[in-house]
Formats: sequence, C-alpha cells, structure tokens
Amino acid sequence: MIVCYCCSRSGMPAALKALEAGGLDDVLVKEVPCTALVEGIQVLQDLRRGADGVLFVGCLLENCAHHYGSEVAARKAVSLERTVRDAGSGPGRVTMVHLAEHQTDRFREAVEGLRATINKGGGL
Amino acid sequence: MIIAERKPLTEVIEMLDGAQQVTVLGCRSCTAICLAGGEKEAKEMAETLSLSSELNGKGWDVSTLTVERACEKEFLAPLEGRKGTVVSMACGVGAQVAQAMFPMLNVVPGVNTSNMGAPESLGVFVEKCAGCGDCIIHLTAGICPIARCAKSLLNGPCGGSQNGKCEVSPDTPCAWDQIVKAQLERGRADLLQVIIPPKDWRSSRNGGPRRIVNPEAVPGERQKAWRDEE
Repeated sequence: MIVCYCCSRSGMPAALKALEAGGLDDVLVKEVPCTALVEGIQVLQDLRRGADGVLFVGCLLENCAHHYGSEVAARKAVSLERTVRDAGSGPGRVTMVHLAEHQTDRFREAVEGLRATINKGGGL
Repeated sequence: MIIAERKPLTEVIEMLDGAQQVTVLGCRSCTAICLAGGEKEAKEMAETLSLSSELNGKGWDVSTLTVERACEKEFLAPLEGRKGTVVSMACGVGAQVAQAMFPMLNVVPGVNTSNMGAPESLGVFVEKCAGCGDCIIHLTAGICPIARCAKSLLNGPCGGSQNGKCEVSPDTPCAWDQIVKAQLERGRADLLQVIIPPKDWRSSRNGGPRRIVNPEAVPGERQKAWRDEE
C-alpha cells in the first residue's frame, strides 16, 4: 500500500482524477491542508501499520498555495526518507512530487515510480 | 539555553543492542526549543525505534515519556518503575541526572549536547557563552569574545579578521569586528582603549566539575529538620 498525503489545493484534485481512471487500488489518499503540515510521526506510523511507501503530493514549488509549504514538505520528505532508511528499510520509501491540480499523469507517474522502487527493494 | 542536535539514528540503534524495554525520554526545556529532544522529537524517535525493531526483529518494547526539565530531580519522578534502557533526548545534564537517580536503568544519549547559545533565525542556533565563570561582556558590548571569537581573544581583532568575517570560515562573523562596531555605534570607543588583562582561567574548565553554592538557598539546620520530617 502507498499512502499519499495530498495538498487539498493541488495534490487532492490530481489524485482524485487519477483514482477515477483506475489502476491505483494500492493507493490510500489522505487530504491535508498543506503537505508541510504532515508530521514525521504520521509517516512513521503509516509505515508501521503496513504502508510500503509514503508519497507527499504538494504544489509546484513556484506556485504553492501556502507560498513555501511545498518547499518545507520537500525537506521533510528527504529527512524522513533518510530516517526510514537508517531504521532498516529499503531506500526511497518516502518521497515527494510537486504538481498542479490538473497534472493527473504526474501523480500516476510518481505512484508508479514509488511502486517500482518498493518492488525493487522487496517491500519494507 | 543548551543547544543540542539529534544523534544519528544508526548510532542510537547501535547503543540499544541487546535492549528489551526502551523508554525515550524527552525534555520540554532547552532541547525542545532547539528542536532536538522535545516531546515531538521524543515521540518521533520512539516511533522510529519501533519501526527499526519491527524491521530488524529486535523485539524492543518502546515507550516515550517527556518531562518539564530533565536536569531537575523533581521532574524525573515519572521515570520511577521503568526498566531497561532510557534514550535521553535531554541534554547531557539531564541524561546524567536521570542516570544518577535511577542507577539500575541504562541511560544512553539520543542527542549530542553542543553548547550554550540562542536561536539566531529559524532552525539556526549559535553559541553565545562558553561558561568561563568570569564574565567580561560589560567591556565588549555584550558580545562574548571567549565563545564567539575563534581564538577567544580578550583584545582584538586579530589579523585574520577580513570584511567583518573570521578567517576560520567566511560564514563566521568576527566577534571583535562586531564588538568594535557596536562600541562605536554606542559612543563607547573609550572602552576599546581598555586593555583586558590575561584571564584567570581558574573559574573555567580547570580543576574538575565546577560547583556553585548559593548560601541563601542552602537549607539551614531547622529547615533541613523540618523538610526531613515531611
């Protein structure tokens, strides 16, 4: 399962359209007001509860609805990826994609990319 | 306040080899402010250790506890009854007080304690005081040359000061350049004429752990007796 934290302004509309198109049955979407608000502990809890990977889906860096929230989230995702790797998981289990609300394909590609990384590493 | 930074996770995991019960101890004082070991960081560490334990089959039973100030015995009472290993996210002082209070616990550091400093900007903490035990900042515009000058010069600046920066790094401001500018701005150029004599370092890191006694606060005989009765 892949947990996607989606910004309500950009990530959520893109994710919903992508889900409608099908083929993303292993995706659990969680809406957040801004991806910067996702706490590290939430991501760690997701992984402990069985998620194989976590994807932050936030605004384009130049067009963030909260000005710099997407930038903060990107730093958080990098730091969490390192933490999870140090804890003993495979690499690349936490990542981020920046997109605009109409970029459904970009969302799908990001999920597929994360799925490929997970499969390559043999799950958590 | 005391500035610390989180220890690399791999180091903490290594220290827990053979552990069974693990308590992550957070502190709501200094290490919370410098974002190294407050309640949030302690909970995150506990969650990370649990994940690591599950992934590597270590079998750790991880819990978390955050106290107001880990350097004061009164606040550490909730540790009573805990067993095994404590990962202290408090500073080195807090970790030592916890270990002294509960000798049967194995207290390991979850942070590296660095210095006494202050937040400079978001996420940036800078050393301000070296705890030399003989403060002279009244002569140096409130800027400590011991902590903030790379050479701890009492009379500066040295030849390594260029464009307001220290020769050790272009990111490090020259403390003496700051002192001179501040004194001129305050109209206290006269203080720059004062030659600060060689420091008596006996009050600093010399002769083992330092001990400060405030006679007013030390209980007298009657007070002690009354407290013992309680």
